[in-house]
Amino acid sequence: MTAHDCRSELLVEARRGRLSEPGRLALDAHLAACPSCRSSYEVSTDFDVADAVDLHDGARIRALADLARGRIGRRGGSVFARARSVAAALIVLGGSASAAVWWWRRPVPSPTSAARVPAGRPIEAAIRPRAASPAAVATTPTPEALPVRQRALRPAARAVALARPIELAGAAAILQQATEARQRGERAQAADLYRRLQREFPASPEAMLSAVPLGGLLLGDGLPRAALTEFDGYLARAHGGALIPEALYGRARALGRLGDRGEERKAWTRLCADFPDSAYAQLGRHRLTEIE
Amino acid sequence: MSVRPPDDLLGLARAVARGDGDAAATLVAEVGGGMLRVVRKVMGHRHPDVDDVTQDAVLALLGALETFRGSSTVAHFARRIALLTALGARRRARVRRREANVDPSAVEEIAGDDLSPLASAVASRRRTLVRQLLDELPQPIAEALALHFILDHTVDEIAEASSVPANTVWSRLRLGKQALRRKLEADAPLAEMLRGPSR
Repeated sequence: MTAHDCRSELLVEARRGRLSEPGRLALDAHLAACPSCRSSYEVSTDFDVADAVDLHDGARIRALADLARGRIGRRGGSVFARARSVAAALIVLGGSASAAVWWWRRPVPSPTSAARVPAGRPIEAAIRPRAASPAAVATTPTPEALPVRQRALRPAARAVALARPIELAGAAAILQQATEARQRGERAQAADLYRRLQREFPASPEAMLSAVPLGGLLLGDGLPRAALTEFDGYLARAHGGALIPEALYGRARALGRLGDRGEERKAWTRLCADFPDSAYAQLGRHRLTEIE
Repeated sequence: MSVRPPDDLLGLARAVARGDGDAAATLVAEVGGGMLRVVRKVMGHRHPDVDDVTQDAVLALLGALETFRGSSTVAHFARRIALLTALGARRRARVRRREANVDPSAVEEIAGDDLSPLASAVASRRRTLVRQLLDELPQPIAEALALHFILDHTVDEIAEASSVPANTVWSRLRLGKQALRRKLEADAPLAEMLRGPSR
């Protein structure tokens, strides 16, 4: 098969994690013989690495969501619908423990809306409304007083800077301090704060959530077994928790560092299957091709 | 032939098309992350225009939902709009870059912590070259190549999105890949990295 008649569907299927074992063997054989497809595969994989999230992505998406609300015209909306948007923005990309806590403490939806949430994809299911009800539209003012046209033209970076901080208290304040220490690069202080949080508020959702960033710090410090304990602790307690993708990602990496290929493969496979659209799934698919 | 699962976001998209501001905010919160990542892939992670281009893409999405026929999922549709918006922005910026002789996307890049420094450098250089190629190629070929490499679209999906026959997409992809191969082979820094340190 030459570069002129190559069919790249196998490559796409492999990258989507849908390739059967015979398909994988066929792909491997083809890649070994076809420089064009090999190059294509490498290039596609290169772009997976550029898929990283940024600490401020939550604020970015929140600003975009606010812009969208103003742009479409009908102002306001139910407080709960707004809460879902903001929490989704903060959690989906930022992976922020603070945001997850904020979501955790949101106003509880009515049983009717909760009943519409399907099982299977915990984060998305928890935060995804299936449709905005016109009847729910209220008169909550938009957060910014600028006219829509001005808002649309304003540089997005400024919109991000204007994003309002989340007010936190108690256990959440410690979590916030730890997060800020981590962002400043003060890893030891951040780890101490996470441990203090777990010690002083063991039953709080903040303590449970802190296991994930603490696990990340431990992993970065070359302590994969301790990190694994943190990630597993979170996964055992967080039924439908918002940081499950992050915890699975951390668990897979920790197992990789420990050389446990079998468990590492299971962790990546679960991550790719349960959260196929997450930023980590592409890394997972890439890693699975390496270790299989 | 596989059956496409129901699109969770379709109802939300329809509500946006009817002018529901809350639905718009919720939809953007859902798809905005994916759009942002696509823009970063096309522009470069630390490109200074990423935020503004993403905002343009979101506004383009809101405008396009009125005529969205549901031929793909809403999330796919949003990512495709993000990709095309970012490609257009890169092309518009190309003239400015010529004058300044600086490519902001070359200033990236973050590395996956599972990659060695050399592998990170090779991947980063290849990404830069692909982006440069996307600026240089004729627009239909660049779009087909970007949809294929960045969004992992199949030929049939690209054909449907571009409203052209599949054979045309094959042809465009073939031309694009040939150009990419020539560009990668001709790049001295990449060759040096792949060759390894000289003794």
